[in-house]
Amino acid sequence: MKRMNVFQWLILISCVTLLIGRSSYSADKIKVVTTFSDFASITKEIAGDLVEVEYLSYGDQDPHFVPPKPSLALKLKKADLLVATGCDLEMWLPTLMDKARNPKIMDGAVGFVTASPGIEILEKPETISRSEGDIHVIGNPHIQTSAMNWKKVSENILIGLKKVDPQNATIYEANQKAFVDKVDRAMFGDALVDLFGGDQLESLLYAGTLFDFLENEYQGEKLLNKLGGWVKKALPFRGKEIIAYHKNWSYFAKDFGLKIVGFIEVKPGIPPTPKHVEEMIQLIKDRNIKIMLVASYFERRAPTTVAQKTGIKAIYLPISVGGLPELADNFKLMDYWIARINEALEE
Amino acid sequence: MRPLYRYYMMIFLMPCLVLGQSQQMATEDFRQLLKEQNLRVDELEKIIQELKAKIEKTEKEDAMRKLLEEAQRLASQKKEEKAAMDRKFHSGLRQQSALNPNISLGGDYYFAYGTSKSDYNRLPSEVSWGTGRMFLREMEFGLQSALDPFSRGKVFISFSREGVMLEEGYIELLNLPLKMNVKLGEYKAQFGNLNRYHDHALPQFERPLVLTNFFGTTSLKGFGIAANFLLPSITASENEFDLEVITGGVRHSFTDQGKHNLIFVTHLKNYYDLNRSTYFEIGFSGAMGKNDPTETYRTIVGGADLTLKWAPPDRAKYRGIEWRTEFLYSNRKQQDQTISAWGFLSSVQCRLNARWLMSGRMDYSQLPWDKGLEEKGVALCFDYWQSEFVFFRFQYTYINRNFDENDSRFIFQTNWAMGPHKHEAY
Repeated sequence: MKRMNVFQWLILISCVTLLIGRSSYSADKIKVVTTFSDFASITKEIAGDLVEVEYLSYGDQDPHFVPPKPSLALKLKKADLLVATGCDLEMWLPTLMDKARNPKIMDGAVGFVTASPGIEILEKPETISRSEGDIHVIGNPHIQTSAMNWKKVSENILIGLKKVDPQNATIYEANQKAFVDKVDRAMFGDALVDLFGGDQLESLLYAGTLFDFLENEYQGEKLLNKLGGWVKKALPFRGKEIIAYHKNWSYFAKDFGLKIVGFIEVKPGIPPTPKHVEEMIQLIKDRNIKIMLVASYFERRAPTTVAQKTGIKAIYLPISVGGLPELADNFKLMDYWIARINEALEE
Repeated sequence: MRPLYRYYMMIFLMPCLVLGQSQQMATEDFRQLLKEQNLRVDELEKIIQELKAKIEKTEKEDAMRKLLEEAQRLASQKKEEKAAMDRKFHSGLRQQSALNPNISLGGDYYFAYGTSKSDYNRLPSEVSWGTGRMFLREMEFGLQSALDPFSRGKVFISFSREGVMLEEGYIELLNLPLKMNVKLGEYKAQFGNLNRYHDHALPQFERPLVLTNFFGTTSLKGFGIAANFLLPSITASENEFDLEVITGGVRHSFTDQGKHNLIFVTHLKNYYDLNRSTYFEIGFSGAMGKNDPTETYRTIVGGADLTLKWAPPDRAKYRGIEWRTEFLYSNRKQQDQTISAWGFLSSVQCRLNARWLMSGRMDYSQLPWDKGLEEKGVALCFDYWQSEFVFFRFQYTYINRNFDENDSRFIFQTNWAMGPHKHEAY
């Protein structure tokens, strides 16, 4: 019998590797892929069991740097709908979209949705230059840290779902409306939402006049007494100055009246230098700052050093849904963030 | 008397009777009146209550209306924020580069000191060593853009001391039938793992010995057409298959002096997600072409590549290990003999923290035109990443040769990039 040469061996081994694979195709449901677990959670609120939802980045992963692995491209290959932020956060996504070669979800196609339209983007750079660090040219893309932004995100996802699955449009619409109401009630409490509606309260919040308004009396009682939800829970840290590692928390700070006065990073995306850490230590001491928010995917050496030298509380928080096993949806995540900050203040 | 008595009695009793009757009637009237009055009072009370409720409701509505008006007024009247003293002012006059999308320029400089002066297997225009000077390895100019909704173009031009070279320049047609992407133009072939890497993205300073000896310092590349297929999910977590035809010679393995200079290249990639932190890739490659100017004798180069990467998602910025290994085998027919040669590389790169990476590589390569000649090498390398766009590299390489003097090299490399084309490896 003739011996096989090396090339015949290569062909044989190639065939063997082809056979030891696996398939992950599932039922014929609409397949939605979101870049982040937060968007997936909102999609589930709107679509329930009508669609199959997957996401690309883990909840404890740095959203800026997700390796564009082929297995992620495979998820996109099967997707009917892709939900991305729409700012330049997911710089890794175009590579995956190219690899997936799925025309349904290409930029501008029916199955492509960006979550950010309608949201007031914060921190739009006045100068687009790398001397400002790893800046985002469209502005701060970490929109998920605001519950009010989830409402806009849900509107955009609703549009996408209605396009790819018009048969279930009425169900999606009803669920999205219920989701928005759920967010408003979680944010402001039932009493105020029943009286004024979530949109009115949101307008007041973003105008910076909500608390002036709540000084008014109604039925012999101050409206402030009717405040509930996360805004009430966050009252202990409203107006406080804090330090953050990165610009993850700008939208959260806007919602709950926190003032971020410094960052552990030298500039966005540039790791802290000893000199900058010293400057932060001095700033914290001068202004008696008590809290530092750090997304859990960042290193802990610099925050620990700063905490040891100043007594500031470094709070490490998962940035997305699923960042801890118990944080199964956006509501639990927001509950967790606020509870952890309050705990740190009480210590 | 008796009738008169009766008369008087009648006179006396009559008014009493009349009075009693009228008193009874008056009491009944009074009761009736009282009842009516009570009813009227009830009605009035009811009306008063209704009026009170109405007034209360109106007051509530007025209060709510006032509150809503107040809310609308306050919502539209944004609180003025005091200008922060730490605000920076920018004119933006020098920032017009934002108008030039997808244009990149990278610089790659190095200082090298080596014990050997030999550059036996490299062209004069390519990398030479050991002269103890600073060099410009290349300036890479890159243009990338979507051409239309169906295709995109990429061009990379390398400028060095010796001249200008088209590193790659191709159009890529996307999302064709059969889940196929097609590339047309000058490009680096999808052979193994590191062949496609531009120099600035290599895990160590130089291309591994086996790739240099088999394909030269500029990779297996040429002008041609390449089809890349995303295979159905019957294999691994993901599979890709590449089929390419390029024209152009590659030193030592394929001729560039013939009439056609055709090289056929194929690659199968099998990708496996082992867990959330680890993936594994195994690929098989083949390249076939003629090796003499008359295009009579063929060379086949086969290869197998393995990549294992570990990077915990919540610490990927600070921890990670990437191990790559490639085996290459060359079968070269000549007039009087068939030469089989092989070689391998194995490279490990560890991320130590956000800024520092450490890597090492082992090399072995026979020369494809004379398997009796061989090189062995080791390299140890530290990279300091100032940011995503600038890094400095410190490397030591030792090469042992059985046909020339050994070489110890110290290299200090500076690499930078402006624009969107970064040093990304995947």
